[in-house]
Amino acid sequence: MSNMAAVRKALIAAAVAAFAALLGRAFLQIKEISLSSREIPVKRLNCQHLKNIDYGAEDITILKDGLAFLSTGLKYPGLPSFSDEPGKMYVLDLLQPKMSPVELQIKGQLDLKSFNPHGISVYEDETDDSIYVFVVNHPEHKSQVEIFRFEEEDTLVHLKTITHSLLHSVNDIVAVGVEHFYATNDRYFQHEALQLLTFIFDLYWCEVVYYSPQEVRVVAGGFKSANGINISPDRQFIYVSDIMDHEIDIFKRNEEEQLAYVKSVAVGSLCDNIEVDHRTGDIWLGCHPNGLKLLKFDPEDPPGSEVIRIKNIHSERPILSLEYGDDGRQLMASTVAAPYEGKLLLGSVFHKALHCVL
Amino acid sequence: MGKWTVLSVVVLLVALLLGERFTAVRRRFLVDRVVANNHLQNCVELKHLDHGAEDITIVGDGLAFISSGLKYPGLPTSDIPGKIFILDLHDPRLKPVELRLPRSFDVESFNPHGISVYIDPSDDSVYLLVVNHPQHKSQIEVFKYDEEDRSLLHIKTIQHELLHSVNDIFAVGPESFFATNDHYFSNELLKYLEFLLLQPWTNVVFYSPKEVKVVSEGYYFANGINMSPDKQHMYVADIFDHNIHVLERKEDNMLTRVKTVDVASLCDNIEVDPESGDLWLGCHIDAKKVFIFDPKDPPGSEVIRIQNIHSDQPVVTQVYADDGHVLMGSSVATVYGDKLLIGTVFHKALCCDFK
Repeated sequence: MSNMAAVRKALIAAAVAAFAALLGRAFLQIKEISLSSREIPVKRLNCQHLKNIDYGAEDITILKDGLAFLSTGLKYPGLPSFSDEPGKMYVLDLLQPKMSPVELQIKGQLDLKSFNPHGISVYEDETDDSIYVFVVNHPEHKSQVEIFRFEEEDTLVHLKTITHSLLHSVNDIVAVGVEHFYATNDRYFQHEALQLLTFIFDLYWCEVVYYSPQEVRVVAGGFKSANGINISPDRQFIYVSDIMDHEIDIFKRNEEEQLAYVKSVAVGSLCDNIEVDHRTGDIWLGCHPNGLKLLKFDPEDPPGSEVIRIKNIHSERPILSLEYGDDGRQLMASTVAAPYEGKLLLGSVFHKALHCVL
Repeated sequence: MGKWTVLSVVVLLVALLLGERFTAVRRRFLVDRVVANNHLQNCVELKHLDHGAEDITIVGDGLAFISSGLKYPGLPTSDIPGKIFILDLHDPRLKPVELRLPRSFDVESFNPHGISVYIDPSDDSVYLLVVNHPQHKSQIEVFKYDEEDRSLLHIKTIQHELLHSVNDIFAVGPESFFATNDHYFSNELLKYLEFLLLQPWTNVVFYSPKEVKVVSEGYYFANGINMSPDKQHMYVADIFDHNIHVLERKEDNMLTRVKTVDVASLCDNIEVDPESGDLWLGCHIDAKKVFIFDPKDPPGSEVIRIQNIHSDQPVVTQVYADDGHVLMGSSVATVYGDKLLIGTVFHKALCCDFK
C-alpha cells in the first residue's frame, strides 16, 4: 500500500490505543478516588441513636454551652433519601439528661415545604449575645443561604435569604459575622456527568467564596470538590475539606478576609464536614470510607462510616487517629462528628444520628 | 526516515516506558498512602524482639513460634544473627524465650524468614520448618522442637532449584511443604530489576521427598501462604496485587484458583484462626517507606481480618493501624484467646487486647 495509507492506518491505530488507555485510566481513577476497594476500619464506641432523627443529620454544630444544632432530611441528587417530608432543623441540649432532640420551629418568610437544609454554622454576636444560625438550603436543588436568629430555646426566626451567582453549589458555610460567611462550592458543573469528568481528569476547579453585604468574591480555588469548611478557635485559620482529593486544606485568614494557602493534610478517606474542638483545636471529620458504596446504594452492602481526628494540625507532624469505624450496620454514610466534653455526636447523609461516649 | 527521527522516536518510547513503569510501581507500592491511626487497648511490646518478628505461628495449646532478625535486601537490618523464639501465651509474663540452635548449625549466617509448624500425628513431635537466607540464598531448614530442652534439633537442610526465592512456607509433613517464591529471577541483580518490571511471574511450589513441582503461577509477589482448617483450600497473599488468592488443593497437590479477595493494602503473612477460619493479615501501608527507610517518615502497620472468606461476601475489616510511630512494617498478625500478636519485619512485636 502507499506510504500515505500506511501512515494513516498507523495514526488511527495509535488513536485507538490512546483512547483505550484513557478509558482504562479513567476507570482506575474512579476506583482510586472513590476508595472503592478499601477495607472497613472498625472501631466501636458506646453509642445510642438520637430519637426522632431518622432521615440523616448532614451537619451538626455544638455551641460552647452544650447546645447542638442539627440539620436533617437532606435530599442531595445522586444520594439516597428515605424521607417524603421537607427537611427540618433540630436542637439538642447536651447538658440535659434527657437527650432528645427538639424540632425547631421556623418563623418568618420562608417556604418550609421546599426546605432542604445542608451545611450549617452558628455565629454568636458578642455585643448582644444573639445567636445567628446560617443554613445552606437547596429548595428545588438550587443553592441559597438562610440566616436565622435562635430565640426562646425552640425557635428559629428567619431573617434573610441570600442568593448569589457565585454561590451556585454550596455545600457548607462558616459564619464570621452577622451576615458574613465563607462558603464552599462542591461542584463546578451542575451536570453530574461533566462533574465526574473533572474528577477523572484531575481538574481542581471548585472554589471557596466569601460573602458579605458589601462584597462577594472567590477567595480560594483549586479544589476537586470543596465540602466541609470551618474555622480555628483563634479565628485565624480556615479549614476546608477537599473530599475527592482526600485531604484538608488550611488557609490563613487576614483582616481583609483574604485567604492565603498554608498547607494540606492528607487524610486517606472521603471526609465531609469539619468540626473543631474549641479547647484543643483538634479537627474532627465525619468521613465515607468507600465512596462507591455511597453512590451505588445497596442495603445488603451498605456504605460505612468513619470518624478521623487530627491533632496538632499546624505542626510538622499532625497525628491522625480513627475515632469511630463502622461497616454501615450501626451508622451509614457519616458526614459529621462533633465533640463535646467527652461525648461525640455523629451525623449522616440519610441514616441516623448517634450520641457516643469517647 | 532519517537517523535522527529514528533516534528521537526511540528516546520517546523509552521515556514513555520508564514513565509508565514508574507510575505503575508507585501504584502497586501504594506510595503516599495515608491511613489514620486505629490503636487497640493495652498493647505491650514483647521483650527481646527488637530486631523484628517477621513470622509468628501459634500451635496447639497457645505456643507461639517466632522468627526474628531477618535481613532482606533493601530493608533496614542489624548485625545480630537471626533467632527463633518461643512464647507461651498462657504465661501472663508474656516473655519470649530464645530457642537454642544446635552447635553444628551455622548460626552466624542464620537469616530466618517464613516459618511453619507440622505436628506428627503418630507421636506428636513438633517439626519447625524455617525459610533461611544465608548469604541471601534460599533454603528450608527442618528442625524438631525439644520441649524440655527449649532447643531445636536440626534434621536437614532442603535446597532445590525451584526454591530460589522463598518467602513463606506451609508444612504438610516433616519434609513436605508448599512454598511461595517472591521473585522470578534467581540472580541478585535481576532481582532488583524485578521491582521495576513488577510482572505476575512469581509462583507457588510444592516440595516433598518424592516430587517437587510448581503448583500455582501468576503472582506479582507471592508472599504469605496458609491453609484452611479443613485443609481443602490454600491462601496466598499477593502483596503487590493487594489481594489474597483462595485456591483449591487437589489430590495431587496442584492448586487451582477459586477466588480473589481485594484487601486494598500490602499484606504480607497470613495466619488462620483454627476455629473460625478467619484470616489474619499483617500488612504494610506504603512499600516505598519500607524499602527507602527514613526514621522521620517511618513505614506504618495495618492488621486486616477477613471473615467468611468462602462466602459470597467476605468481610474485610481493619483491626489495627499505626502510622509507624508505634509500630513499623507489620508483617504478621495472629490471635489467641483475647490476645492479638502483631509482628514486624525489622521493628518490634506487640501483644494487644482483642475481643
